[in-house]
Amino acid sequence: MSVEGKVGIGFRRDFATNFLNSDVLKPGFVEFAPENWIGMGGYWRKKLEAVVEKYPILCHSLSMSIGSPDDLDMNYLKDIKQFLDDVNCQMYSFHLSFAKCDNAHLYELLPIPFTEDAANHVAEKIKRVQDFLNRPVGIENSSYYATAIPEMEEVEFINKVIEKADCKMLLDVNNVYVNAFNHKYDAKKFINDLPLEKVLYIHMAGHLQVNEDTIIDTHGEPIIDPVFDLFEWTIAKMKPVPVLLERDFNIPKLAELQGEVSQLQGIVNKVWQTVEK
Amino acid sequence: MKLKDTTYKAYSGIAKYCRTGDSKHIKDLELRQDRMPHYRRLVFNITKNTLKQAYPITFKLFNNAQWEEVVDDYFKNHNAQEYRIWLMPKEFYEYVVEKKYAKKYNMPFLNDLLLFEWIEIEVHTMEDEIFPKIKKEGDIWNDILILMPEYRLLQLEYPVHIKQTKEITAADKGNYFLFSYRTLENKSVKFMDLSILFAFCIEQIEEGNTLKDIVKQFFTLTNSEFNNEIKEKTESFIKGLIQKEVVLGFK
Repeated sequence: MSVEGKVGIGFRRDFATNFLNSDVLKPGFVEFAPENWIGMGGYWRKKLEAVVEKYPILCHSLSMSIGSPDDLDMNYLKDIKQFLDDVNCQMYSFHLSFAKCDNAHLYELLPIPFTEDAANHVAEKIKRVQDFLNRPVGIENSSYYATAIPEMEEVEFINKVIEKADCKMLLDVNNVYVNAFNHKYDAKKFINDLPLEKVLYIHMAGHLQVNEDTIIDTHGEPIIDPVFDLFEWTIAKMKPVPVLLERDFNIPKLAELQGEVSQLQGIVNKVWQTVEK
Repeated sequence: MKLKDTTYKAYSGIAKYCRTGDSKHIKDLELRQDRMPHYRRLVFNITKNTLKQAYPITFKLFNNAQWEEVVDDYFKNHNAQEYRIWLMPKEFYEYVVEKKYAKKYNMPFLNDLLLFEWIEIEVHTMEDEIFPKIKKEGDIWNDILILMPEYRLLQLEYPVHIKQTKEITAADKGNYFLFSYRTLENKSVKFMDLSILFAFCIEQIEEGNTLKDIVKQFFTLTNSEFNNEIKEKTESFIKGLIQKEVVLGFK
């Protein structure tokens, strides 16, 4: 089943049972974070299998830590490859950030220094990942609150990595909004400077403004109107791709989540004219 | 691809700052210093919340200062190796045992408590096992019994599974056996407190011995007397396991 022009949901154990036992939330596809499921049996494995039976699957890794100075963890990659095959994953992505350093996992997305050597280092690792998995990967523009010793702008860094690695991009529109606010740049100019033809799919989420000049990318709030607006403006420049709603904290009732899915699908249908006849 | 020293130091400085909260690791880096506490908070809270969810009884047992100290020490000093955060709490348990926090906090039962809490997660999430082929009919005493494979058998020094922690004293120290399994019906986790005889039975059934031989071996080893009362209790125990689908059947 094609997922282009469909709006999906990031699967959470918090709503798994209600989701599977009702038809309130009706996504066009489901995204798994493989690390939350690899090696898990029992009750939750059954839920995962039920979702795989019913929906097209996309996967988005949390622990790839592609930006890490540490080398790739080949055992981890083997687990990922097996999982992607097991769930018949259609598209796979991870963050352009690091979450492991000096042989220790930190379980959070930390900012890569925007330097020439870091770009080369990351691109080299992405190539190896793509070769190993034997599939293209999408790298996500991450939200960041500070970056160390920058030699270039974020957009230049992203472009360099994608070009050198010859990979796809996962465009997180909320992250663009958050970063543009936090680092005082023009979100639309930033998006115009991205290789939009390489976008594999889109992430959308909510955020939280914590003070007058800082927004934190929480995934714990509804999407705000300016981010919906930026999304509509962005997709008008692109061919249809899947769009994912992420909600990881403060998870509301399924009807509320479906409200956001429907709002996104309405925009998608309007811009890409993908309404099924 | 080798990173320049300055680039590596930037990575490492950010990571060390997030693990320790000590700004000396980032003071020479050209970055928004005022925003870095957000990273420290986000990183530390993920670990802290994961551990709080994994060990709710231990969390309640500790006062705030103790909990903050042990989690902070762990995050600062231990290089977490597990890429799946839901399995990371096992490393915390191992760290607490290794660093002897039970002695430091005068909680001799702490290691057992953490293990008890961890085993619930482990049994609930353990990978699905292949169930062996069995015969439904057989003789409890003379045929080899087959256990369901999704279980753990633990030996504990303190009765953390049957007593409130505040009621446990040094006098409770002994040998306790805890059997934890995942039900076939709905994959929920159940616990059973076992006597040493019944724990021995479980262990030896797994080894492929008949109940008759197991009991004979036990009473030889313990130099004690087997009688009708014990025989009836043992039979009742095994029938109970069959009813609970812990014993699946016969080889």
